[in-house]
Amino acid sequence: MAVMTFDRENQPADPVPEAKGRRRSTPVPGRLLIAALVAILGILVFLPTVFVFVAAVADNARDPISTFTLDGIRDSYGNWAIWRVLGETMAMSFACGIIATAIGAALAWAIARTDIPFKRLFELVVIAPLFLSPFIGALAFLELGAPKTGLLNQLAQAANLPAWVSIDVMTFHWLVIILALHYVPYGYLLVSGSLQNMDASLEEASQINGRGTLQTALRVTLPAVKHAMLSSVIFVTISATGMFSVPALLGAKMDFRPLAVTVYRATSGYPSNHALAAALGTMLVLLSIVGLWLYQRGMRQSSKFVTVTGKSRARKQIELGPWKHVLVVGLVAYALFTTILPYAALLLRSLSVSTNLEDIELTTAVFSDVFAKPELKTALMNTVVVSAATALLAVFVGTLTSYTTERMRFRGSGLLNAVAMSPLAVPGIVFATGVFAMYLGTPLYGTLAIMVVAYVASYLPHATRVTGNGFAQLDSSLEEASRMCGATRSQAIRTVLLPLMKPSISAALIMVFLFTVREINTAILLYTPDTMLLSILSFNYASQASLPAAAVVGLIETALMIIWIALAMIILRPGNLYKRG
Amino acid sequence: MNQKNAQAPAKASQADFDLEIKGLVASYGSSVAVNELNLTIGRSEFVTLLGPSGCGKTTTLRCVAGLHTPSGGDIELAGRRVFGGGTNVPPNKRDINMVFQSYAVWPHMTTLENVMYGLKAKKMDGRLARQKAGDMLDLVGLEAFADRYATDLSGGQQQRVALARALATEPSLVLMDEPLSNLDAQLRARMRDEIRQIQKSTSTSVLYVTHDQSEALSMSDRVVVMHDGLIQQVGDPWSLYNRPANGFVATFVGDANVLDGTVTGVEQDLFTVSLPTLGDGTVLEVALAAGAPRPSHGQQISVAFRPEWVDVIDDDPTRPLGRNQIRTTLLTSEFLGSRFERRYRAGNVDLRVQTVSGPTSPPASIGTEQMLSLSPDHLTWFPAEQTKPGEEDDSEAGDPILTTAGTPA
Repeated sequence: MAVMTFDRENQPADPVPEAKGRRRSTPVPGRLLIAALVAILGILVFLPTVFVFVAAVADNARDPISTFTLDGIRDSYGNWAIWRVLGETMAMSFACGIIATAIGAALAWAIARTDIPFKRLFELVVIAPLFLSPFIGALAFLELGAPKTGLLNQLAQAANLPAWVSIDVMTFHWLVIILALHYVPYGYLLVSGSLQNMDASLEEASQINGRGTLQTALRVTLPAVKHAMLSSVIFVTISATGMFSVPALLGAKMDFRPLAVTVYRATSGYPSNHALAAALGTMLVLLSIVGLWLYQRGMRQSSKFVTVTGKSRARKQIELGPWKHVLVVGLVAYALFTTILPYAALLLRSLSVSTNLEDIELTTAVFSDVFAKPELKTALMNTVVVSAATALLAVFVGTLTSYTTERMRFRGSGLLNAVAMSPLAVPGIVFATGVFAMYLGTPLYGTLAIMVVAYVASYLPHATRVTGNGFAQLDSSLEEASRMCGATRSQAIRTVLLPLMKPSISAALIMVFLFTVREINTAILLYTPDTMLLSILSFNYASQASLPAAAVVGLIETALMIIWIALAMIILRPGNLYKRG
Repeated sequence: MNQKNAQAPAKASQADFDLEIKGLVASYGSSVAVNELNLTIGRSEFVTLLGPSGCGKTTTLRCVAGLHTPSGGDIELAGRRVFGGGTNVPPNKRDINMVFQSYAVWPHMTTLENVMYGLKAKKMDGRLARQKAGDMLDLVGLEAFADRYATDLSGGQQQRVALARALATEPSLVLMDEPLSNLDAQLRARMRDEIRQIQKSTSTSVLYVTHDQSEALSMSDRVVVMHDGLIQQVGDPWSLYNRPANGFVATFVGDANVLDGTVTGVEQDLFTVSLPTLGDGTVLEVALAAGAPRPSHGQQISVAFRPEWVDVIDDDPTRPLGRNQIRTTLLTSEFLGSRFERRYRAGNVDLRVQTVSGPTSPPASIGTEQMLSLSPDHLTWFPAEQTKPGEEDDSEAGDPILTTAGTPA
């Protein structure tokens, strides 16, 4: 799947002589392109990140450059309470990483190696949360498992089950579980990619040498996917550390405020403390950098298990026998619990005024209420505009970046790539503090444009990596052949490269659009009533405790995402990726 | 074919065969890869399945390994039924081992750990297992690399690790799936010899799969030639090359000229056959080995001979033809140093001929008329085949010269 193609293990490095030849002869238009790209990336990505650090020591948020204070630093790095929060945040996100990876790896193994039926359907079920908003997911779980009023709790009470059966999703461990369920697709995709690349005979050799299914899985398969799992743990941990919306919702009751929520509190409280927010942000950035470094190391190690013979034979699937039924029931239950039940609960909630199961009365009152509000229309329009603009711009810049780094290798192309990937290390809410500091006082502030600017930077890594993998899979001889036939470079790009890149570009477009529609972490610091978005509207309703309205907006948002996927599939027809021969 | 003894019941621990396959059928989806295959491997025997890709040889091997589930038939290993009649023993309980084409050396273990793996699975005492694995590494000449990780080894060395690992568990049968195909030509020749030596010194039974005829001929006690999921011929390398059972074997194992003809007379130790495609009225004498099957008068047969069995007579083209001599024109001649590979036109067929020439005789030029002499001892025969529709097309597309049998070019 597109999102998790951050691994670069399948990309053979271009032979050095070629790279040298290219470097010497980069023509003038090429240099102009590179210069423009450096400028774009500098303004889009590098400066806001710098401004996070500048704002951390700025006394006046409106004038971050020329004022100076160490109050923010003192209140963050010098505050034991903050270190405690940091510890709790790490505990939460690391637990998420472990759980999401464990579940994802187990599912990947079951789907890739055993003879369970309906594999494609189950794979879809497992990946589904990737296309859904984590916040709306949390909202849905709240409908299911809020103390007392949650649907499951009411059902349990009606069935006279003992009190300990009831669940309370507004607790730390449920917060971790719900967040982890959102991240399971990441673990699944990383491990399943690794399982599929693995040489089948490694496992067969173990069987022939006398080891059974379980022993083979533990002694050969597990070591082979170990690095992918490690990478998944790190990636999910980084991502969960920057997660603001879900902990803000589910942690409200127990007063659990992970670092991202504390950043938000610092800016939204009165008086707002932007220096503190930025200083806290720098802590998150530094943490993420360490994590990303570990992630890169992990990915580099994982290539030794890859198939050496080009011969891919249908491997014999493990026959589960009676366990097959158990597994199928388990997977259905998983689908039910992670996606179907929560969204059903959300739907039910949006169609009724009362939370009480006994006097539920289906009504469209909430819907018409929400639709009547002018802010919904604004939010819907804004969301469509912002996500479409972001998707187009991010993929455009991402494609340029990956083209220059993959195809026009030159001194510093690695650095360019690193800059484009760096927003991965900067959680959305932290990046927003940088954008905020940079643009506060400029006419751009308070417009949709500033959101697009922030979003494009945030999702540039995804767009760059997906299109970069696309370029890496296309042998450069395809373009060279076009040049040999007399086409100019731009003709070669237009007639050969772009048509072949269509699947990757489409995948990147869909992905960035979906991520932008559901984005809260970045927008929460940048929106104004005029630039309201669906995701923010839903979040605001939820924090004002009007859950039915939040549910309605959440459903509209989900519908928008589904419509967009369908549209993109029809218009772009991504099709299969052209594989290197 | 040595399958007369296949019926012998072998339930005792001292079985006659290390492997006995009866009526094996295997398919992938709707396509049948192996059709009713019977095969036995005796004690310490090295048997090779030889055939082009897609002939079912690897599928047969994987069925024996338990890595592919056959759709029918029986497989017995050392007298123990591992497949058929409701049993299907998983690969880890079959008392076999395998050398994979991709080596399948585990990259997260050292060389020694790789070799010890199967021993530990057998619950062998750790010290003993280490000792035994060390001995195995000694055997393949890798004792110095015991603590290296497999990924630090060269292809040939990884191949040796795979071999040592397969032999370490002392299985009743070792399967080898094109183990040399990823090595370069020089190394391949050396490993060929080495595997054969080790197999002999450990008296292990081996079922070897390859598409390379020189591997099959040089290493095996017996070779099983397969095509389209069917066994074409089973025999020792010498008789396979010198007495091919049909046109496929003749042309797949080495080069051959195959010509269709009619038997015109049978005598005590030779018979005559008319071969009109070589030119009107051409009749050749073919020697009959003692005890070999004899053709009957008027039978349609194919006569086959190897390119190196032909003698070229550089002579006056007007001279009358002698016994078993034919008039030809030189079409092409390729000089390969040690020999010439030539094509001659005779009648309406092309013949492949290999000749050697010394320093005193300059090569003939293209278009020269030369006589070829085919000694009766250097001709072999098999009954003419009813060519199945479609099959002929396949082979003809592959190499027109090799299948000139009866079809005017």
